[in-house]
Amino acid sequence: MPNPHPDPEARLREWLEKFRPLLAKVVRGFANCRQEEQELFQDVLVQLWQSAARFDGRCAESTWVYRVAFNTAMAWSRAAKRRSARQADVADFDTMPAPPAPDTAQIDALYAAIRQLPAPETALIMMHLDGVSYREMAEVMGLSEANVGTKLTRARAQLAKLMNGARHE
Amino acid sequence: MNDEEMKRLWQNQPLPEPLADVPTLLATAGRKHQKFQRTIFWRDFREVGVALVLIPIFVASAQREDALWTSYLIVLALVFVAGFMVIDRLRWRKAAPGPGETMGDTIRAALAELEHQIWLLRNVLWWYIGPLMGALIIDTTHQMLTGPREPSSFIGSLAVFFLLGAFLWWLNQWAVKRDLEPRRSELQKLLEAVR
Repeated sequence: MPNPHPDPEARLREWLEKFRPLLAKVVRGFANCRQEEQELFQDVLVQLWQSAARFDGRCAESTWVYRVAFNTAMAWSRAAKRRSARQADVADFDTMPAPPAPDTAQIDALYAAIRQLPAPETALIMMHLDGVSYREMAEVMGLSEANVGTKLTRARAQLAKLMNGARHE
Repeated sequence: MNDEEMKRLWQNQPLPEPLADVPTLLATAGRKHQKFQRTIFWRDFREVGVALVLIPIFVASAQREDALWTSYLIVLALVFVAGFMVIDRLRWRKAAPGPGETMGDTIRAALAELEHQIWLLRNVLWWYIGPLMGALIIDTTHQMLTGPREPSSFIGSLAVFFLLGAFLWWLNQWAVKRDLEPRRSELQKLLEAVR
């Protein structure tokens, strides 16, 4: 049971240590390039930092961190879409994705496919691939387990289609 | 690729280098604050610079034989505005936190400086617009009463001064609303988080 009045900074450090892989995956799943990943990661950290003092241990830490990270990423992604619509014709070397290394081509393709899903499905698929239970997914997303099952089935089918399409191109 | 293969790929993916951590976050907040300080510095530099250029011009014009004593009021107003801005800057430079401060101290210092800038812009009427416009209006009125200026030109000048004053006031309040208040709530949220 976590301390009810911990130092938020200490808790944030602890979460960063523990959930860094999870956060890195969420950020990469929603951002399109390294610069965007950094921006989003900073936003997620600020939100986690702000939420750290409110964490009361009524749900698992991983559920809390997933929830904060996905909510931030989804809000960020909506804002990023508005921004990119405004700056569609501006090319910048910093925002161009680095060419994929040969051994990361598959994971890059998977991320590219995930990014094409709608934001809630992106979150569900990421948790599914991480092996998160339906119950925890339901807690993170604020959905019933049955609803998670339905949405996830649809998202998995869509992802498989996208992945197979990418392979045939 | 089936579901199990995707899971395996996902769970065994090489993770990128850390993107940012708490010190980086603090550094980002610090960079934003430094940018804000630079903007404020150049704004003050411009304002004081213009006043310093205008002071000798108005002193020279006040020393002409036909000049009225009210011309010196404009010089006084320029000296007051430039002096006020320089003293204000020096006071805030002394109050800046030293190196090694905690995250909370850094945010509190940034917030205090921002609050002060909001206060300055909200009160721009008495320390900037008022003295300058007041001196110009007194000088123009005196010129009209003592003869060299026609009433129609006097009314025209008054209208220009009022419009200019109102525009400057509006511009400052708009800057508070558009830039400073959103930044203040951002910093307040951050401060809440570190308490």
